[in-house]
Amino acid sequence: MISPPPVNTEILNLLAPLLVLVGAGLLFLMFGAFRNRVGTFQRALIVILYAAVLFYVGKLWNAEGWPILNGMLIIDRFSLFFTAVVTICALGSVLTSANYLDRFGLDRSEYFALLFFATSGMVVLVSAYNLISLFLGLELMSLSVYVLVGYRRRDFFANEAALKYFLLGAFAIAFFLYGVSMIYGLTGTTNFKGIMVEATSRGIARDPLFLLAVALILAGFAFKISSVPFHMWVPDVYQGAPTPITSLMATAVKAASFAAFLRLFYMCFMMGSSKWSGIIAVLAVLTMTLGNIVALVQRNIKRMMAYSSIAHAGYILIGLASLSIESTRAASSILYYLLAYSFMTIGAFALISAVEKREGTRGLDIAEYAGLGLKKPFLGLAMAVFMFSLAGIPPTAGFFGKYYIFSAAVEGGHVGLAIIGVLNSALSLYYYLRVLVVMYMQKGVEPLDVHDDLGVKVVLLVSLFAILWLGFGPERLLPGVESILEWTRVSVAKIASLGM
Amino acid sequence: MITLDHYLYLSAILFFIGVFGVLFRRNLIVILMSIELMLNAVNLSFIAFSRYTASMDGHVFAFFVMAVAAAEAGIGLAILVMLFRNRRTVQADDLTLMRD
Amino acid sequence: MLAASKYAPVVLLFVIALAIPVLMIGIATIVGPRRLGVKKKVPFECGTEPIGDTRKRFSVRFFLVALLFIVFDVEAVFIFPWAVLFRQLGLFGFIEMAVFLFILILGLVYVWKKGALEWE
Repeated sequence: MISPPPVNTEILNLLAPLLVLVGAGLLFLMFGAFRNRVGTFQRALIVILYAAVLFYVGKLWNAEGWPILNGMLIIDRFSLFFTAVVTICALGSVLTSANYLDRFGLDRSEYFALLFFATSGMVVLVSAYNLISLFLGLELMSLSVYVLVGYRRRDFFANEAALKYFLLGAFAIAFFLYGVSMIYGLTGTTNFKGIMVEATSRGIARDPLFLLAVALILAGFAFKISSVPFHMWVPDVYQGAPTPITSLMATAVKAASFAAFLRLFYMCFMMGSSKWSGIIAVLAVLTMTLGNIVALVQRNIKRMMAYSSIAHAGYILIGLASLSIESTRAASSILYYLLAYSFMTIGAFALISAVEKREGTRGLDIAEYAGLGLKKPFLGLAMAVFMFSLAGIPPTAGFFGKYYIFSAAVEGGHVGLAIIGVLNSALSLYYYLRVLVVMYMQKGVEPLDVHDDLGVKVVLLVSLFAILWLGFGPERLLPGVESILEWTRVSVAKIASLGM
Repeated sequence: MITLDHYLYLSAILFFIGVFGVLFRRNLIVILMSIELMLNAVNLSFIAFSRYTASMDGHVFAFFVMAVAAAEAGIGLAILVMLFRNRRTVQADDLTLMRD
Repeated sequence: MLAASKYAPVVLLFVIALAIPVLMIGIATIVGPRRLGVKKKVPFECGTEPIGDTRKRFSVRFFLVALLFIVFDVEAVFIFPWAVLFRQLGLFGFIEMAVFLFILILGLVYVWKKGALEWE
């Protein structure tokens, strides 16, 4: 007998952030059909719509957190936390875009429609409670981002970047799906809870086919979070994509993929066998070491940030490797790290997009930052804080993020991993500080024109503030470190209890 | 008698024909077709599992894979056409603009 | 074998259908005379002289049409199961499908307004 899923106002309420995003995407598609330019009205509307999503997230913050729509999605603290993170990242990308799109002649409604669709894909991805919705979210996000990467149609770099990202992405998704089909064959279900129950009760977790399936799924995720050995595309794609989209890929796409990865592995695969933590630990070491070493020799700042984002994926993988059922510490440190990392990366890319230009070396060479620090004191200060935070120097958010992850690793008995992580951070100091040295110590040859309009300035100011606040902000007006860590603990504990 | 194993072998063979196509062919359109072949191999295994475990989830999954594969093919072709208009090539070896 | 006998005429039809062309081609190759010449080796083009190469590049517009066709065609995959279970799904299913089609129609409106459906 077919029983349609109960759709009532309560469920529509829970889906409000998602519905707003999808509706906004369709609305901007229609704007694109009937008039092409994006005016002030549309720009304001975009910001309002994203703010509405954040508002609904706040309203739902204490939601029950049970699976809805026949167990397709779950709106709990964890998914709401990541919905907020990806919305903030998308908003940062939008604010950075305004001036950038004008200068590069890309000012179209479709751009924002795709951005909304990508964000709704991410929301589905972080709330997925079934492999079907996980797959749909992943694809909705990826397909939109493939197009956005190639958005500068006449640009050779963008063409190449889009094609590389598309082909490798589709290839990785095929492996992921093959793994999913095996999981389905073994357990007879695609529901997370169902998989967990079947895997532990019938001893499927030790079946070699099950291990192969999990390895294939791991490969699919490793591609999305840009972990070694699936990282080759990252520098090329980051370089060729429009800078606001690079920012989105380095933050929102990565955060959403990590969220789905964390939920799926924590609930379904970690329980049965501890082999995974060894494999993920090896990936973590390779990823951060390769990222940091290759970043040392980069001259193009976007490529340098690409390798830096690979290295940061490695640090987060340390957290994944030290996940355990008894303690939620490792998982909550990942959430905190992703939030902190998103802010510093959004800020850094907002600045890069302001310096970028159309001709010559395109303003992407690190050497072209010479003299920026003295000519534009605010920009110089902001960049200094972002770089310090990325390198993990106290008292910034980057330092605390690393501290929580490494201490979780030590607690989980992975002392070696923590030591390699610390050594890597020391190595990364060299290339982050080099940017500052060029900015402050060297004289610029040609006059710099920096396009720091209101949007870019707002992004810089907000991320600057957030990084410092997440570092040592007191607990009064805004939630500080303590409450954010508490939220992350609660949301992770919820997943663990559902998995039990 | 055709059993589940036969379908799974066929699915695995198709999948790896696709993998080798992606790895060893240089024409981008052929690579795109190979990826589609991989997705169809996955579909076959979903349907076979669904038939033999008597649950409908596999059918539903296959539907979604088909729809998404169509969208993916559409976007892939669009990107390819864009590249061809600018560069007049559809060979993977010509994509060497960005290097370290 | 009762069930099989029901289909015996169909099998017979297949056999006859296969036999006729095999016989025709077979007899022609055995009995017919062979006189090869330059004119005979040329591909047959309804009696006119063949012009140009057969492996011609065709317009990129075909790609666009194929692309749109694929995307809209595959949606039938979702509409078909709904049509089969139309009565059981009732009003709920109808509203769901209406929402689905509405989104699809917005896509069509976009394609139309952008002029992607015009050949020139």
